[in-house]
Amino acid sequence: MTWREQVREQVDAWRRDGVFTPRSDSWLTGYDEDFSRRLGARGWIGLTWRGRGFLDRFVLTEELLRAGAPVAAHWIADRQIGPAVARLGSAKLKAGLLPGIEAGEVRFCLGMSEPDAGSDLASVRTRARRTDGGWLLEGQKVWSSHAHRATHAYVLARTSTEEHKHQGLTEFVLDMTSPGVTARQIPDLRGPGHFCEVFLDDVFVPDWAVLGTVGDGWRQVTGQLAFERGGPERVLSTYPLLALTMAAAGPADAGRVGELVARLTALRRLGKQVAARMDGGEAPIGPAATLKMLGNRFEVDVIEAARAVPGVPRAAIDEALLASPGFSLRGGTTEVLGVVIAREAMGAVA
Amino acid sequence: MSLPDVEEAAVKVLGAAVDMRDAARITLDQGWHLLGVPESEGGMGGTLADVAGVVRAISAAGLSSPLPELHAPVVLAVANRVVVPWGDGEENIAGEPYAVLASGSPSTGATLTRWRILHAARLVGGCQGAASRTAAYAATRAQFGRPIARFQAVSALVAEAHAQSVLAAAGLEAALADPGNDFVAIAALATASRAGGVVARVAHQVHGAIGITRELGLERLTRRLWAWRDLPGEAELEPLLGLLGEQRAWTLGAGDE
Repeated sequence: MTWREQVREQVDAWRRDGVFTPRSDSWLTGYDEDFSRRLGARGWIGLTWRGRGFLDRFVLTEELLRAGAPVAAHWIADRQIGPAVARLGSAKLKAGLLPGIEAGEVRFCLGMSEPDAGSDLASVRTRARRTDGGWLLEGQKVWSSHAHRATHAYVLARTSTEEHKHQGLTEFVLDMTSPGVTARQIPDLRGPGHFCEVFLDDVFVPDWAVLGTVGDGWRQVTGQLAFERGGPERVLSTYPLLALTMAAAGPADAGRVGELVARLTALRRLGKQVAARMDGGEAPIGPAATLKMLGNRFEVDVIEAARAVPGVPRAAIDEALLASPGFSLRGGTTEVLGVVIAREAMGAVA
Repeated sequence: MSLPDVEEAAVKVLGAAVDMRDAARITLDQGWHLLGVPESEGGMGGTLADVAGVVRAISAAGLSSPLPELHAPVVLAVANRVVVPWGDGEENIAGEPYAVLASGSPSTGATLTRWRILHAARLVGGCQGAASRTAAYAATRAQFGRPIARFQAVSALVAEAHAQSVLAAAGLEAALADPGNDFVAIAALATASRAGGVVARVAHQVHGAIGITRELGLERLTRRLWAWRDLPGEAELEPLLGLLGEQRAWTLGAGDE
């Protein structure tokens, strides 16, 4: 049996047994701590740092997203924090975090954006001040999905202010139960959901929980963006809706659905190319941005197709539609991606 | 000769062709179509990907060659006509010849699949050529005192052309990884055809009026993209993929796992 078949067999069994109900956008809104523990027990979290690699994770995550499985609770840790900790973390940080991530017990939220630092991430103002044995973090983070129930947070903060804004940034890992951390949900257009804001009031972070090098945060975080942007979730957020649309489609819909099938085939291949380059030790920032820009467009085009095909369940369309405004914002707006892609295109011909 | 050398040589000798007939003669003489044919069958060994690489290089340079048709001779159904690309009688908007048959049955099976993949490679090369010219132009052409790429609206167009060319190349790679699967070939060709239309439009928009001139030569790429994307167009290809069902559609492109 191929790796893909193994995954599919298990995921199909879970679905048949009622372990989960398929839904769109399951990697952000399908939050189920038990399901994450179940995956952890199967050994399926942390493949990239446990000797399996990005191509195996690509296949695993494709099949989970295809099934609409609730993978949100461990998604951030598995996708970008675990790999960063494995590569840059201190021995103590690795020992303290990686086993918990692998078990689906350690759940991360991201503290990147701030009220005045969205697309312009380098404008973060959260400060880290030196103290005995570590740092004191002070500031506010926003759009930190599931922060109110995460065990840990990744925080990008300013450790010095004198230089250019791309300098003096540092990456931290903090325990959400630390004194001074407050997380509050921000209702989105559906009501209370994943959005949160996080207030940091002199939160102590020990030196061993600094990720990588003090002051090198900008370079590190832009490299990590390839991992954040280059995965199959940037294409497949509405795949469960596409599956329903394919099931309902008749001859009159063949052209519209066929266009999506053709485009999806190429997009999935592009995702596989990105994963292969990550296995080769690269951080393919340009290809990841290309995948995300085109993938986000695909995700909303699926919704438009579903609207046009008679017989697709309304609830599934609405679920995808209400999630859709976030597709082309999270992980970098289409407009920012366009700049990154154009820079890559011009670099290639310079 | 290594493959990159073959690709470079192909661009060089075809660049010297005086007309389409000459390009066809050169292609036949050079024998690139025997790449991807087993030596036991009188070919040169190698893979379909090797032929596709030469096809891509030729079209990226804005050149024409019947290499796909020599490798996989086909009769096509195109918009209610039966067409032989690089046959005699008619000319497409890029000046390439084709024949229209009064009757005849269109090709099917493995030959058609191989042609579809190589024709997709032709479009991918054209997309790459036009997208990279577009990026280079935007980076150097100055207006309002700065390179036009510094305007976000223009840079978005550069990104779009590049992204479409990358997507079409990924579709081609999927088809080359599973060259016996006609559905993946159809997907690759449909994606490349759509990409060709977008890249041609965007390339002209970024280049402004100079891009429309014969002198600049962008039209060598864009006229070809417009001609190639209709052999047949996505409107005829995509419906072939629309009723595969989820299970089969999901297997497309995973043929080499």
